[in-house]
Amino acid sequence: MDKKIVVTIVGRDRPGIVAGITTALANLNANIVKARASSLSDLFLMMLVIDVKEVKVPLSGLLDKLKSEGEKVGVGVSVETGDNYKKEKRLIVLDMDDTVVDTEVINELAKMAGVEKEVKAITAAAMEGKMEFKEALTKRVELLKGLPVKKIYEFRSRIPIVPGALEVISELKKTGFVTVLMTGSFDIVANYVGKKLGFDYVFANKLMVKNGKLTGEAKGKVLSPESKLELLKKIAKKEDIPLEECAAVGDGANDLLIIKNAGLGIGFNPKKLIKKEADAFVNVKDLKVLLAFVGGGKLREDIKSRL
Amino acid sequence: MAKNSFIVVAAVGKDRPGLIAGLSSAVASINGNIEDMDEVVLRNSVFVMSMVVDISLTKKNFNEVKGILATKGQRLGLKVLVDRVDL
Repeated sequence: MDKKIVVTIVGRDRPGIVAGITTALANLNANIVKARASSLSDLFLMMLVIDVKEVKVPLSGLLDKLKSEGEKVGVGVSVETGDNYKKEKRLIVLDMDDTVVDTEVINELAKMAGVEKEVKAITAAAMEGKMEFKEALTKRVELLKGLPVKKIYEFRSRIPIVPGALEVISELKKTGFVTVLMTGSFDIVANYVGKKLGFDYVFANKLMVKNGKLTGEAKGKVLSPESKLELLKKIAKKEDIPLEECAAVGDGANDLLIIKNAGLGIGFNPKKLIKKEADAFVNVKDLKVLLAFVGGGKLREDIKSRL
Repeated sequence: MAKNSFIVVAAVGKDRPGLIAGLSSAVASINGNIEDMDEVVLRNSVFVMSMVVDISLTKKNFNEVKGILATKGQRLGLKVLVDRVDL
C-alpha cells in the first residue's frame, strides 16, 4: 500500500478511545500524519489521515482490525482511501426500520393484528439472512390480513424517530444532498415518515387495502437486496450522480448490496453480516454522527488538503 | 482531582509510528479523558501535537500527572510540556 487513508472515529465519549485506536494503528506500523479530535457534548469525534506505506496488511485487514478495536472501545469507525474520501458524497440512501425509526414496523403491526410471535420469528430469520426476503415478506403480510388501516394511521403518528434524523436530513439537504428513504417496510408508514423528515424520495412496499382493511397482500419493488441496489442505481443515474458519490446506511441483510456497492456503506447499529461488509459502522443511536462520515465543511477541506 | 480539572499537553519531536498511541495510552492509564487533540507532521518528519485533557477522574495530583507524561515523552523521544488550564 502506498497511499493515504482517512479514518473517522465517532462514539460516546469516555477515557481510552484515542489510546485504543492509535495503539491498534501503531501495531500495524501505520503513521498518523494528521489528527483532529474533539468531544461535542457526549460524543467524541476523531479524524485521522494515515500514511500506510509501511503497513504490511491490505486495506481490508486494516479495516477489520480497526472495526474490532472500535467495537472493543465502543466507537463507530469508518475507513476510506484518500481517493475515495476526495469524492464527496452527494446522495444518501437510508433504510427505515431500526435506522430512521427506532422500531421494526412489521412487528408493531403484527402486535396490533395479534400475530406478534409468528411474525417476529420470520423477521428475525430474514434480517439474519436465513430466509429470503421476498418469501419472508409475503408470509408476514398474509398474517396481517384484516388489520384496519385506521390503526396503522394511529400508530404512525406516534412512531419513534431515531434522534438526529430530522437534523441530519435537513443539514444534508442544505449542502445539496439528494436524500432517499428506501425500505422493505410499508408505504403507509414510510410515506408519512419520509414526508415528516423531508426526504426527496421514498421507496417502500405497498400494502393492499380493501374496505379499510389490509387484504394480506403486498405489491412493490423493494423486496430484496438486489432490488434495493437496482433502485439506488436508477435514482443515481436519474440524478446524474456516480455510485462512488453515494452513501448507503442500514442495519440488516436487506441493505447488504447497497452498502457493498455505494461509495461509502455505513452500518447503523448493524447486524453482524452488515458490520462485516460495511466500510463504516456506527454504534450509537444518533443519526447526527452520519455528518462526521459524509458531511462537508472546513474539517473535510482541511483533511483533503493533507491527502 | 477536583471537578473540571483540565491540563494542556504539547509534544514535539521526530516523527515515527506510535507517538500518539504512546502519549494517549499514558493519558488513559491515569483515567484522563482527551477533550480535544490536534496533531500534524511537518515537513514529513516533525511531529507536533497538542491536547486538552480532563483529569477530574484521576487519583493523581497535578505534579504526578505531569511527571508521568514527561517520562513517557522522554521514552518516545519527545519534548513534552504540561500545564493546567482553566476552562
